[in-house]
Amino acid sequence: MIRDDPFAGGVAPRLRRLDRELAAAIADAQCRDWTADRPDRVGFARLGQVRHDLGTAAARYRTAPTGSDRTTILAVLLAGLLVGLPLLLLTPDPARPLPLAAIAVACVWAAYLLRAGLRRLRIRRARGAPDRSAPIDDPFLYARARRTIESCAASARADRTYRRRGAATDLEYALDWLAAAQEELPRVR
Amino acid sequence: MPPVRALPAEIGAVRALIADGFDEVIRESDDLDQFWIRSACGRLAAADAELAGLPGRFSPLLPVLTTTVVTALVVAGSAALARVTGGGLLTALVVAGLLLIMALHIAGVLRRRGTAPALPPPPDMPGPGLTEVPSALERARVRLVSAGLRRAGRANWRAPALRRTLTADPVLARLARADLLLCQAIDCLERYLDDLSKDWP
Repeated sequence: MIRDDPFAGGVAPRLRRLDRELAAAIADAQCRDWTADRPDRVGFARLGQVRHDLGTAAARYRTAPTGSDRTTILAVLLAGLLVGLPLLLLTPDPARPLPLAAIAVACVWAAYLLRAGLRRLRIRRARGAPDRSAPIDDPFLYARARRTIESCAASARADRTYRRRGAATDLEYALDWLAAAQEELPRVR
Repeated sequence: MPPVRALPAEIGAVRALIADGFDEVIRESDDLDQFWIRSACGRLAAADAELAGLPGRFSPLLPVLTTTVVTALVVAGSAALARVTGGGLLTALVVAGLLLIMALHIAGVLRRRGTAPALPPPPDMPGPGLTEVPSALERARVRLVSAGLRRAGRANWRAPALRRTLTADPVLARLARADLLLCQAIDCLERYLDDLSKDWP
């Protein structure tokens, strides 16, 4: 689901959503630079600066950093359902400490194995996937990021907490880096 | 055909190049508090710390072992607690789940807390000058990227597969972060040199 309303939700969830989007764009641009598909070592570095400043601003809101990725959550759920539940149902009197600990350890190892398997499967599937256009070239990415950062800075400036008003400064740095990433200032050579 | 070099040797060479560039910046720049110079030094130190903390061959097993031991202890303890207090299986599971979430959260916070990198003392030998530093750092970056691509494997050299590999492999994720910081340092230095080359009125 794509939500492009920059005023939806509080400041922290907006920042987290933008952070996730920027992280995807940076990783994609970095891969394209590594494979010389779209050689540009400046654009993704500057977007990385934007993300760094956004992280500083989000830290003033005391939000948790980005949580576990989707593969980990899926692997843990699958391990609980496929290994933990049958073992709990099949073991006689599973509430004793030692059997319960053994079941938990089995669940943990199953989760690790499932995560490794799922990752390998996703890499294998991505090998044959068609290549789409790079999100770093998308002008709407910059427009969306700018509107989100500006609205977050407006909310931060109006906040009554001193610590959160400081986030507006970090967001202004982020805006500077965003403009630099989009406009590509002239450099040496 | 040149022999394929191991990842630690390659990373050592990259770190030596980064350290040379760092020394050069500290020696040649007249004012270390200038914004671009300070930013570049911070990025270089962070990239070096990122490369220094690269996990070894067997250290991926370490978090698995830690998680196993912590899980076993916490679950056994909460089951014993539930038995003492007279609760059933459900009580034990709920208590164990809450304690596990807490323990894993604390472990994540402890792992994420990094150490601040320190600046090396300025050396006294003359070097090639500040204008040569970006190209030297770019050479370091080329070695870093080729080491990363070799680790990713030839089958994953297209952008969608490489993106997935970067998020899946912790060593590659670290290499990618170091590469990002290195690019930021080069960008900062180039902007500084660009500002110097213009003759402001």
